[in-house]
Amino acid sequence: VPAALGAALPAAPVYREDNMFLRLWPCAALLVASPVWACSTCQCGDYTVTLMGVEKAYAGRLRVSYETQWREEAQGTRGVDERVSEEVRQVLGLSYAFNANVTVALRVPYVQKQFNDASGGGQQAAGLGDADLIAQAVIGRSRAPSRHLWGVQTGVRLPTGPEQRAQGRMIDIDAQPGTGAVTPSLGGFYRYYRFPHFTAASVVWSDPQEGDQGFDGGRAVVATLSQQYALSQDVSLQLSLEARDSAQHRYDGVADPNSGGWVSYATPGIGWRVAGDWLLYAQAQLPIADDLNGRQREEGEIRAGLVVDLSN
Amino acid sequence: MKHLQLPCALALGLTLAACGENEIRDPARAEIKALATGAESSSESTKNFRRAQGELIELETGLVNIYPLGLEPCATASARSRVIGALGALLPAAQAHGSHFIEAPPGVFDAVRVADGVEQDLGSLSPAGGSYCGLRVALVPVVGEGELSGKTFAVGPCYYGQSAGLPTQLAALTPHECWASLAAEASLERVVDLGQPLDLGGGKGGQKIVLTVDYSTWFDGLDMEALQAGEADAVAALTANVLASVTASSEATP
Repeated sequence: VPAALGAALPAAPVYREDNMFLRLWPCAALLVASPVWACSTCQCGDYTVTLMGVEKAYAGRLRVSYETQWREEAQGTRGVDERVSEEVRQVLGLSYAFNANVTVALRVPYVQKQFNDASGGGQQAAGLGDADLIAQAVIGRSRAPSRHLWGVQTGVRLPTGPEQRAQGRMIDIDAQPGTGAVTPSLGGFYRYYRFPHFTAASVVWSDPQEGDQGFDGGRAVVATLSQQYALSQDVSLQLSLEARDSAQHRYDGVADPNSGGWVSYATPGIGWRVAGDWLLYAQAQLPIADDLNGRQREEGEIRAGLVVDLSN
Repeated sequence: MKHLQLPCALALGLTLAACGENEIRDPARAEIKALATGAESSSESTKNFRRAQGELIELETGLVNIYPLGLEPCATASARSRVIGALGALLPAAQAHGSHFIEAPPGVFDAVRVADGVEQDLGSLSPAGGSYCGLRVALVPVVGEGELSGKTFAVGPCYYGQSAGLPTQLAALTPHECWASLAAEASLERVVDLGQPLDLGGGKGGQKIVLTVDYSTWFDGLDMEALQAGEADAVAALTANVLASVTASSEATP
């Protein structure tokens, strides 16, 4: 069945109501490697997955998604000069598949950020964050049974988040919802379909340009490997390994010693098709190993969301 | 039309969830000031006093690079001094030569050309909120260009060796020798007791710590001939005296 479906994807809507595999593909799309924002410019996980899906696309597919992400990180020495940052992102997304090979997407985040310093000081701000424009293209697939698929993706993060102020003063970049930077990215992906198993892997490179307040995020490479297992037609379990290696951030040309380095997570998750094309999902990152520069820690991310396919 | 309901609902939810307020909470901060004391009389270019042994000293140069390293929590603070660098490494430590004016680099405490009681800015500290009982200060080498570069302090006394027991007017007529500057390179640090606990954070506002430097004690007990000759032990004793001359008090700021 998967092989036949793989070959018949342009006609997928015909099958979707009747075939368990097709019904579960959206779950796969949700559960395989998803976005993690280590900071405004960092990420660990392939953020295109939730929005664009990892199932084989079909012409005219329109998808809307909403996701809430929570994460925390800290730099410095606890009780001395530590800065603990907390971030909640609510991301509205839209993707459209022109055909089985080309999909484009837009993500618009609303970001609430705050940090608290050991000195008792702190700042918080909320507002529109930096939006992502992404394009993904399948450049190859195996012959029937079409279980293997690979392609490239490119994107750009745009400085759509205006700088926030409070009490007449500019909020520090660490609490700004946006960075004011343009961040291009380029990567590749591979997927393997064999129901009830599903495997996906991707590697994405990004290079943030200098943004507001002299902040220049470090270049990063993000790798993701994910395995999913479908328990039933409506419920899927997934486990991802996500890793990021990034250069140090720079402020006005000066490297921040407490930034950059290598971090990895195991990310278990669950997806539930609640009705028709409505899918709920939840995931949690669990740190497994890291070699971060200086004094910093990342707690991982918790996220949950809803995805709906609007096209018929 | 049906398909528009979901995006609208999501957009509404996003908007409602996005009602955060921007805020800046300033950190606990302790401003560090220093003031000089000790003069029996003074002019624009000298501070006059007697050391413990009774001899008159006219201080022509009194530059000290006092650096506030940090606040000590009450649980660990205690009055103590310890050497960072080996005092044996103090210069060919003393360099005696003709007296001349040395301009104070920015941030360096000037005991002579700033009137007693006038506060000089030594920066600020933003430690973690808590209760503090001590301020760790150090004499550290000056960074940058100039005559004081690499030196922790420079003093230039005129020593009236036969003036003990004489009234000031007569003491000033006795033989004396002036030299400058006695510059030390080694660092020395000490925890200065704040007298009463200093509470920072928790919305208590800012605090100011005032270091009082009593330069009239700098030469107490020293072998002045050895000091003028630049002997290491004498300069080490002077260094210890300079650091020991610092006391501290704190007060709340608006």
